[in-house]
Amino acid sequence: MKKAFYLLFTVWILLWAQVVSNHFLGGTLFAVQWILIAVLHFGLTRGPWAGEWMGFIWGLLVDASSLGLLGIHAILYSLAGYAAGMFRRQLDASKPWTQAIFSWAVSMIYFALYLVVERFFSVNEGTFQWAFITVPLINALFAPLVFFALDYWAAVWDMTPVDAQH
Amino acid sequence: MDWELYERYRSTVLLAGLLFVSSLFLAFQKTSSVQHLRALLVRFTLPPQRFLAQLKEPSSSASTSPEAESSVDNGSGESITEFSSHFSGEDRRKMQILAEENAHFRDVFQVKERRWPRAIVAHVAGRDPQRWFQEIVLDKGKEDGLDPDDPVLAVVEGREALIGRILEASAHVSKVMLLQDSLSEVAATVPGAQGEDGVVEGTNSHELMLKFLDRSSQVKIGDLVVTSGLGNAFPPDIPIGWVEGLEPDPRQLFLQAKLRPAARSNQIRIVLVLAT
Repeated sequence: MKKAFYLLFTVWILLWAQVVSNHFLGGTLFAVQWILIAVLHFGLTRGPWAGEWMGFIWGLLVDASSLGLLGIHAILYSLAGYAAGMFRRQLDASKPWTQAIFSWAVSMIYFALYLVVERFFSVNEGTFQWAFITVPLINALFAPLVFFALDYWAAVWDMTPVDAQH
Repeated sequence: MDWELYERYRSTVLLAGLLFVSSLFLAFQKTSSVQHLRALLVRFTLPPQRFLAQLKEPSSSASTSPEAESSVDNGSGESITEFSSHFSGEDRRKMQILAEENAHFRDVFQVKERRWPRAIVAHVAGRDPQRWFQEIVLDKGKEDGLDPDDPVLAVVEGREALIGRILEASAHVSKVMLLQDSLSEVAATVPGAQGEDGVVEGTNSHELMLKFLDRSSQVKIGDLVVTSGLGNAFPPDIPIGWVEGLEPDPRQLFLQAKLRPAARSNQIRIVLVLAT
């Protein structure tokens, strides 16, 4: 029960953060993808299973909130969660540099895939924007902060993953 | 080690399942079951968006002129400036924001009463950062009387301005294709002696382009461009924007004018939908 509340609140808070962030920074070169970073955190700290589920749920909510193509973020965030989970044994997710570089790399791949998927399913042609270059850098900058906040949030709920307890 | 392998295996199977389900959603966007799911999810995501849609950025309140402030009456004969002087800075700022919001609401409803009595007032509930210049989401849908292709107007300084048309409408929310979308085309004219017609197209950025003007066109910088009403998609004489620059088109056959939109899409909070 406690875990369900923890997950529900985490989903809800990050969704708020993303909506507020989009409201003020969306469309600029300096937007932050809080939810993508959070999905990576779940994948890296809890494994691919958790990363995929969180990515899928957040993705659907992001799609619904933007009234964009329903499923496009669900695909991309699920893939991001899966990739993060698969790399968690190779990466030390507690290092800020690892968090930053991994977030940057995944964000770049995310935008490339976004263009491809949109081209398949939308009547609008996905066009290159400079934000595709700057947003991954901003994500990398904020990744350590998000990872720290989510670790702290998990500790508050006593939900720190067993692997991460030293 | 076995657990590790098992975890990888089941995660890969789960990923395949999730991708399959997501692809089904993508492929069957228009079906009623996907629309119902979307409506359900929107209910979960709408509260923060509604909250934000009603917020106004503090910086805009700082730019209000003192004359404009004092002209806003609080209903008791005392101007907001005088009335709010009794309160602390933060309270005063909130009151000014509320006063401005009220003034804007009043503008919107005056335009509605005067020009478009059957229009439906809706709030901007959200927008997709990846399609910032192409779409906005409204908090009203089919059950409120909105339908695809209905024109959408914003009210700027007491006058309406065209911002786009309804692209999709579900039960309680709808998506607007903004004029800035490169797929958007609106029959337009430059009022005046010549009454020159053209087509306003989006550029996926702030600007609009008025295309297919005659090379001997008398259109000049600063001219207002309005809807022509041709094609019956939009009523005539709704302002679209002002001419900011003129240049020959790439094939040198026509002139095209760069337009500054009459309503900046970044500042839109409330819109009027001309329901048919």
